[in-house]
Amino acid sequence: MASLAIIFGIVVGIPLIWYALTYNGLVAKRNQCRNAFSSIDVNLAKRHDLIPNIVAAVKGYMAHERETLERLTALRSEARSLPPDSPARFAAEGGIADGLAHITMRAEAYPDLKASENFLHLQRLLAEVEEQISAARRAFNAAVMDLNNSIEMFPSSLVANSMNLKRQEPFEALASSRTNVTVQL
Amino acid sequence: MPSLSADDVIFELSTELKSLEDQRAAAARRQSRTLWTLGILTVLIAGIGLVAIRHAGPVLLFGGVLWLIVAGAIYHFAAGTHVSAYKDGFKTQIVGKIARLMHPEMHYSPGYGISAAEFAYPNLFDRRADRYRCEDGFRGMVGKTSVKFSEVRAQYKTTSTDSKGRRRTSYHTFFDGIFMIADFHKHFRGQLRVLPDTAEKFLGFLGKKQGFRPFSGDDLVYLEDAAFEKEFVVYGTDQVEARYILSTAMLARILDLRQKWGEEVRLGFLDSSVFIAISYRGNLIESRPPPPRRRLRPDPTLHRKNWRFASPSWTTSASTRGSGPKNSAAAERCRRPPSRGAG
Repeated sequence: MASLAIIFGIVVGIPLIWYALTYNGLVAKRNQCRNAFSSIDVNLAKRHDLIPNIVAAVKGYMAHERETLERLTALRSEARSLPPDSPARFAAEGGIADGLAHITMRAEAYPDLKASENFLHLQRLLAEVEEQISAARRAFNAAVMDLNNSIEMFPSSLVANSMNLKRQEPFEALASSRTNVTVQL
Repeated sequence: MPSLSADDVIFELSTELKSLEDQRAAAARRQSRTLWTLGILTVLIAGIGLVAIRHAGPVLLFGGVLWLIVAGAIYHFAAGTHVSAYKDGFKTQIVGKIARLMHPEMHYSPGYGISAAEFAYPNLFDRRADRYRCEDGFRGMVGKTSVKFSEVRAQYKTTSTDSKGRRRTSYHTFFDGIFMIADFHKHFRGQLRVLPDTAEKFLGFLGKKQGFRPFSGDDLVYLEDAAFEKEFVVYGTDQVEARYILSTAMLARILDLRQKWGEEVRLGFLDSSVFIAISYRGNLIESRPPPPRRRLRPDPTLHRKNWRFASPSWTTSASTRGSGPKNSAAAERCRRPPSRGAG
């Protein structure tokens, strides 16, 4: 009788423990992906917050770039109004990144602007935020790779299927839609 | 930042080197003469002792020990003080000036260094130092970055009991090399440790599994640089922050540092500071008086070997700023034993 209980324990108990551990591991990995994505979102919001200050700092100097600045402001409003993971949002964010890069590049042609303490401070803040966005993106991609490995590899794929987990796309794939929208600068 | 070549530095030091070379030659002559005299005296005394007191073992042993003490004292007063004065002169006149020439705001103190508490603070080793020694400390500014480093030797203690119940204590070195603390030019809240990846080297892909790294409570951070991942394992409190600190450029610099030194390198990031431990067998800053007939000449290999810390390529690899560790108000005099909690 005792041996029967042991055999039953091995046959039922071990798979059950394995299932629970794998299930929890997959949940943790999925949450890590969500957490990493929210970090991207937080840092993109930080960049949004910088845009009005940057526009205010440069518009007095860059009269010829008025169209760029207006478009940047419009893209900021658009990005803030869209759902965080929508392709249109990534397109708008791509436009913002390009616009800010353009302004920074064009600032070289304006010596007074380059000498402005306020603009230099904003440039430093922007560089800092861009670094944080890059870090969050790399963390998201690492979390996605980890989750995708678990979803696709046997035997954890069995549990992932039962949880209806789907393969996630890395950040570059999510953001690739921005190439479809040309931001005229 | 000044970019003096090793030849420029030697030119700037020519006056000190000339004066020190005379001192070195005199100290070396004294050392040689004293050792020869003591050697001859030892042979004579041993010979006389063996012939005169043939069967008195304990007397011979006592006499031998007494002679060793007397010989030590003679050496100390006849030559030892001169050799020590030369060595101290080498450090204060030459090494100190080299530091100032390479970086005007860099100060060198032979007897000071990274304290035991500062060494233990980033938790780069899974052992506590029971015996700690440091010397040859440098501190100052390199550009806008506050930097301090010194030679450090840290040992842990083991105690064993033999079959007769006698306890024996041994000390084992777990770090011998250079320990550096620099301000880091990024602000972050958590902590990050970059350690040699011994598990992956020995166990291959199995070593990548979390289960094979049981000693760390922090998260394992996988980075996308395969060459870096092969050499190092990274633990951090925050995945995003880890990548903020370890930018792709930073990964390349750490790998470069590892390849340049060819030794074990460990890094810790916390309190907006970077802590770097580079294992190095041997004493980097020490001078021994060679035989008196040989004149010193600049050694081209010495430039490449001992100038590495001052080279611009090194200073760019520690792209850092901010405040130091909480307990680093001043480098403590580190020849004293560390507190128990420090190691």
